[in-house]
Amino acid sequence: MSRLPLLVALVSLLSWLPVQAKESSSAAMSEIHKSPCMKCHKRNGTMQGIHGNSDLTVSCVDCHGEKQGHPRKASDLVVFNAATPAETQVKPCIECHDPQALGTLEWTHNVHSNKVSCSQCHQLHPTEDPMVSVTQADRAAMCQQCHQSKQD
Amino acid sequence: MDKSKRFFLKGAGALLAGMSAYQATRASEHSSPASQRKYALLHDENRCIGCDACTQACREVNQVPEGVSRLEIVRTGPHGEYPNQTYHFERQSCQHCENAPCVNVCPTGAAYKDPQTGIIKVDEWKCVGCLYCIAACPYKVRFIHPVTRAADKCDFCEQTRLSKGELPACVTSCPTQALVFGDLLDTQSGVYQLVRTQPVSRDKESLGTSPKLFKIRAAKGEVIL
Repeated sequence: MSRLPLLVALVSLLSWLPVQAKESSSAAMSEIHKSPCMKCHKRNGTMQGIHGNSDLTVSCVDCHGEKQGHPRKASDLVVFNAATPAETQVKPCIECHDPQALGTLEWTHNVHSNKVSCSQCHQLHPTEDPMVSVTQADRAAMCQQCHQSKQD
Repeated sequence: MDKSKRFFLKGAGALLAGMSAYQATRASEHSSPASQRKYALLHDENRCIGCDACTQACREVNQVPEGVSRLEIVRTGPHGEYPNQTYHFERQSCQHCENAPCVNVCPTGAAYKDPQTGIIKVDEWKCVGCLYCIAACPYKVRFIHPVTRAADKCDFCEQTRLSKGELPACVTSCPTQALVFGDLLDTQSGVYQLVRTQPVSRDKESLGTSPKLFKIRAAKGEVIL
């Protein structure tokens, strides 16, 4: 008899889980995926991260820049990889994210500022940015990825 | 009467000769026994990036519980304006003073300087937890270990690594080789060479503690690699 509340709780929890799964898959249906970019770029994966939230009204061009001649002719589209200068990559990020506020939250933002691109640590397209769940040991190991080689 | 005077003089002379010979051999033994070390550590603040790899390695190797620490990197900053801001990192740990106040105040002899290595150590079983050493340490690096209930601090990993012929955990974990550990009596050691040739400084030298944690100060509170 005393187990009844527990059973009810379990059943309600189980019924809630598929809803959560459905919600995350519905992120694929957010406004950003109606962008004309997605006609070609579906193969690159969808925007699952928090920046894809319809309420933020962030579009592809807000970060990557205007299409211009892309794909046939020249364009100033920003590709977030090692080939693009860090300063160019950081520029769209700090349009919204105040560098000072970032520095208060995590001091390493200040020292890397526009010298290391945000994308070297952060990823916006996956559901969760890997930096959110980074441990202290991971953090030290990440510093060493760049700083160790500099000493040799 | 004469006999006893002569006997006394003879005896006194022999005793003096014996004592001086003993003193001489003892002094020569003391000055350079082969096994004698004077361990020291150098922290180059210009190389330190504040990654905390050393503090994590120390905690893991020496089983230091959360809430207390043998080693900390104190960060100050940011200095300057965006996008050219910098921080200053300073090592805070036992300085292994040659003239250690913690040893001088310890009423039970639990805090002592190992004559073979120059390392300031703690005999856990002798410590009664009176906190005198914690009050006396000018560098504020001692604490009561929550498990052993005895005073604890950095011992250059004497128990955990030096005894196995390994370097202290902080030194090996440092990715930028900002820490140099060695024997000050060995003129070929890296630490000896650096202390001799670099502009090193030590904390609160004016107190006469003669600490053995040397520091190369950051050029202008910033990290230069």
